[in-house]
Amino acid sequence: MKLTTFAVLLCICFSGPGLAGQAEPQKPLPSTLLTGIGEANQRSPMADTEASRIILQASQDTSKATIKLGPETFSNKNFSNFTLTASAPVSKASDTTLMGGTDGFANAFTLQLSFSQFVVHRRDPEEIISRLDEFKKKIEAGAISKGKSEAEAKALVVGADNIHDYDPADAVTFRELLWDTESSINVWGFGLTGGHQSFSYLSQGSFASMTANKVPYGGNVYWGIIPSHTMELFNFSYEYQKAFLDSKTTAIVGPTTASGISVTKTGPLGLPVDNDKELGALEFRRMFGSIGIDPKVSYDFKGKVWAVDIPIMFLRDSKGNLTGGLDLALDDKSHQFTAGLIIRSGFGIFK
Amino acid sequence: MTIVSVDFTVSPSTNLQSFWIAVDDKDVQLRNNFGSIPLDDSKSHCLVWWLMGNPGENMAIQGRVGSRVVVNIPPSAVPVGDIYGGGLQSFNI
Repeated sequence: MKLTTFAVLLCICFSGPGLAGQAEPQKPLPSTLLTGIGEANQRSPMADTEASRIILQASQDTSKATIKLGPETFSNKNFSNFTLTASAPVSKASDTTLMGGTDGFANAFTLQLSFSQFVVHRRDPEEIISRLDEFKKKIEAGAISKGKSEAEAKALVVGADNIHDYDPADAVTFRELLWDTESSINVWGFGLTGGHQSFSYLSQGSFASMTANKVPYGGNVYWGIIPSHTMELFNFSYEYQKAFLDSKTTAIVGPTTASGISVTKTGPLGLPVDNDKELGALEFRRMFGSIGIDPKVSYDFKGKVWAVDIPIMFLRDSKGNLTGGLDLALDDKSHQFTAGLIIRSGFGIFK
Repeated sequence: MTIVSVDFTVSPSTNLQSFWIAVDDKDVQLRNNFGSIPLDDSKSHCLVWWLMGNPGENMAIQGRVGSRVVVNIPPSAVPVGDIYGGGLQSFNI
């Protein structure tokens, strides 16, 4: 079905900046069609304990249970993090791999190591420190003029958010004193995954139920850049998955016994088949006023087909997050143009 | 003058992408949201922080000498329409 390939391409799951980096709340319906950057690494409120500064997170969605060790974060010149994730399928029907999903490991026990790093350019804080009192006074004056009490105004911290709210004329200056926006921001990372998956199938010749053990594995790399003086992200990614699927389900009628009874067995006939994926993608993210767009061009090197996906986010939730909009899509296999509603946990440059 | 170790703990929001803190002109090397730096207790110091993420993502910071809190920053957020955040606060030990 063409839709399958089409959906596979649409669903390339970048593990980009927020990408493989910071996690976000677990969603009850992890539809791959609705997955955005960074949602591959989700964090659950189910359990989040910190012991010896190692963060252990356990979570479960409708298809997989995961335990994460990390992210192990390092903030020095750059910002890096490592995450080790163990996942297991919740209800392991061997042929329930999501149609159209890019997760060829959906029904496998897997171990994944992921790494991401932010490379940015900060300013030496010497000058901004010398202007602390100046900004403090301006924020206080602005806050009082907006109705804050003197005590409330004095309690405000000299931060970019308060500058934005109470001293907007200095917002750009403040940012430039903290950050070298002449330089681009680079984000890169990779993930390695290995696992184990058992398949039950019917032997073609013997009418017997058999079991096959497979070792799916894969990896992904990405590089994202936010060019200087912009708030738009270009993200390039490549992903390879060596995965397996049940062969086609078939009903087999066994030999008739002496009493005239024959037994019918239903199941995958023959050994599991390869379900390799090799996907490349280029994505662009940007806000245009109150609208967020996230066009993505994907190429399936195995199927030799490309697809274009253009989510346009313009519906906001009660907190003002962009969570809904239209998704326009086209692929070169079916040559079908589709449009539909899309719902996400939120839109931003980083997710 | 005595040099004391000040321990910093940061509490970033879930989707904050990256963050750094410094005291005066020295970075505090954070590992898993925790880091320490030696400071002169006879001088005033300035805590500086940098945040990167979507608007609204934030981070709180607390500095302690032993169990005594010497600086406490409530959640400081990336402003609306921006990806860069940060701020600064003077403190004494």
